[in-house]
Amino acid sequence: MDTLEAIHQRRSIRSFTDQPVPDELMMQIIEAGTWAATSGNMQAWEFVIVIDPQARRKLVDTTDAGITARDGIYTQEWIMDAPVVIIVCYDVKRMTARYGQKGRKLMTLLDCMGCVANMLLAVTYFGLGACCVIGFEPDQLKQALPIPKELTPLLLIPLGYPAEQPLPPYRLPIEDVIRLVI
Amino acid sequence: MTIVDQLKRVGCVSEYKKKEISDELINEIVSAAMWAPSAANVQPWEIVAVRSDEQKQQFVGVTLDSHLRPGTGGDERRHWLVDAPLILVVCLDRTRAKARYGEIGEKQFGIQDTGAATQNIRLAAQERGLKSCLVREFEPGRVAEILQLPRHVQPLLMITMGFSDMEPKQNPHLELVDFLHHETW
Repeated sequence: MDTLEAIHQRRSIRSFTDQPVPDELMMQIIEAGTWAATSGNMQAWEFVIVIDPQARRKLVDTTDAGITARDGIYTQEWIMDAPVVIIVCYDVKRMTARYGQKGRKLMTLLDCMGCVANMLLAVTYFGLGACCVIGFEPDQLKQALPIPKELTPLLLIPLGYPAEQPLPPYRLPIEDVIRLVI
Repeated sequence: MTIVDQLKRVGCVSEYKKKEISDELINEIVSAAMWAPSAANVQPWEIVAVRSDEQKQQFVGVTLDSHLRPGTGGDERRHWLVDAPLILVVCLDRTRAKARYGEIGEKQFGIQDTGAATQNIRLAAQERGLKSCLVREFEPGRVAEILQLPRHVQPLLMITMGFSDMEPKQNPHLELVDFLHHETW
């Protein structure tokens, strides 16, 4: 699979088989993340890997299904089927030290999203499935799991072998998103 | 007093009065670290201020003797640590130090930066009438346990601090000609 194929084939997967994710693949996915572009090479990202089902339960309890909540269930229960959840976190001090307030939020978040994008492409490459989850309470999650105090959880990436193959959704044609050529 | 005069007075004083050091004074003194030079501006220092007698007592138990040997009397020699009103443990955030440059950031630049921060802190303390001393002879792993440091934070040295009437001992110094070279060695 070449890079453009991986970009086009990446889907958000929210349903997984029971097959465990080999550690080796998980490490390669994280390593791919760490090759993302990063301001000043400060690499603000850090990862917490959740495999234990009880820990996963605590994690899911801090999620929020938002406008997709149905039947009185307000958490993202589908995550319980993911054999692994990678919590993408950041240490705010790295970027802030070098760049001040702009580093504290914006640059740190931009870096981490690049990292996540790389990870999702690697997930696709390995035939695995994942989805970015932002619907959770970072403070609650830090209380629920022993996440080091210097880390801030940014995103959850539930990961596993896909039990669904969603069709590609619509994308705006590029002529609709290129507003100006000067 | 010129900066050089101030520098001459920074020396090891390890006998202190009982007078406590306030949070405000700690904040003022430790803020001086912010102006230390830092490779890539990563400011890799992390500082733990210790005033608890229990922790100071634990520190005494993990000091080494002057040849860095454990359990050869180091404990007794360092007993004065308990009487220091404040111990600042200067640590290195190894990950922050390493992010930009890799190994050299951690092993060299980070150590240089924290050394400069340490001197800044001692000068700021001196300006406020405090005397200080450096302690480096300890088991870093045990100190990390006492302070509950995460794996990526490494204790480098302790600055003990307090008010004192003692003047620092004048140690022998190399002459300038001994270490200043022009153009080549």
